[in-house]
Amino acid sequence: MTGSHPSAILCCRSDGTRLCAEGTAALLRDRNHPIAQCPRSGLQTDCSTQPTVTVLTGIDHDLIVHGLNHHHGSVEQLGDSLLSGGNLPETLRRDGLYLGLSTSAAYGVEVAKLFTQALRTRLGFSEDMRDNLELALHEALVNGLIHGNLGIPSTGRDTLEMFTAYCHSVERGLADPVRGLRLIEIFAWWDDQAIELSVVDQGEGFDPAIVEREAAKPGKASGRGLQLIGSLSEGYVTSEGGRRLSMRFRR
Amino acid sequence: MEYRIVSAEDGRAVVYCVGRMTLPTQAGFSRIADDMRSYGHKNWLFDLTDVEFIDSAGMWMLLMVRSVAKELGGHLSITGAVGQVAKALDLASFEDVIRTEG
Repeated sequence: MTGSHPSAILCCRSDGTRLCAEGTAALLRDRNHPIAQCPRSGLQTDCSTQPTVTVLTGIDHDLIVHGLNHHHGSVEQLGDSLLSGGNLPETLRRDGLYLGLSTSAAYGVEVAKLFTQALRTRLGFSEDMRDNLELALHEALVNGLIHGNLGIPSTGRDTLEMFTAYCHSVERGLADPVRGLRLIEIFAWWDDQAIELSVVDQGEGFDPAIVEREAAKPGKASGRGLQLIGSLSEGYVTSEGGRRLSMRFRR
Repeated sequence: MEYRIVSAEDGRAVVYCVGRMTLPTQAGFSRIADDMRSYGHKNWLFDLTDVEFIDSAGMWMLLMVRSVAKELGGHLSITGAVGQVAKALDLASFEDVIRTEG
């Protein structure tokens, strides 16, 4: 990678994912399937045949911004695998915006801020709406990372000391070679009326009714994020076994 | 998030918070309880003027430092919230649980 320019980009066609890159990138795999290299030679950063996402060979803030603003987002490369989840093809088909990141990477950069700024650049909504989207996405993302991918329950942080211990368990989870590298997908679809923001993790899934009941108990820290999401959006739904949370916002 | 503590003329300690008050940025907040206990003041004012973003964990952290102020025999107020921070605190009806000054 040079500066904020990608060394590879990815598109999704009806017959599968295609990689456009210099060198040996054809060895890459996408969810355990080898990725075909684009028949066009070399890196076609101006490729206009399909919507594309950039490939992140390292977590570079500027490259994430480049992918969000000049392509349809980015996917992270880990070894010979790409962290492109099952929602990438549909997001590109819809001309949406997509990020596929490892848990540790997504926790370490201000993903919600970058993502909603890029959405605002594309769609031109108000600063007030930007704030709402950013907070809702941030809450959904943190829930997916911590409770989903790291498998850390939301209970046990009712005092500052307990909260500090809870934060240490998050740090251990992020350093774990399995949990810290689990995929988190963030994507946006929109039409003239609404924007749908989704976060998909690889955890056990959750039942929002149980979380909301827990949040209603006085003095409990858990569930506040979902309450905020409910207030900020027109509504949210869970699917994919409770691993996907989708929030809808009127434009 | 970072913070610095200053003694005010009215006898309170003022905590100037800077940055993002969120779960991923909580590391800068981890010593706050120890600092409050060692500072010797009862009453605390948290100035949020330079906090650019707060999430539900950040709000929870404010509730917990309020508990520390109570433990010290005093109380805690917040001031200066603007932009996203003011909206988020309003959304969570924060003024019902923590005293908010001008």
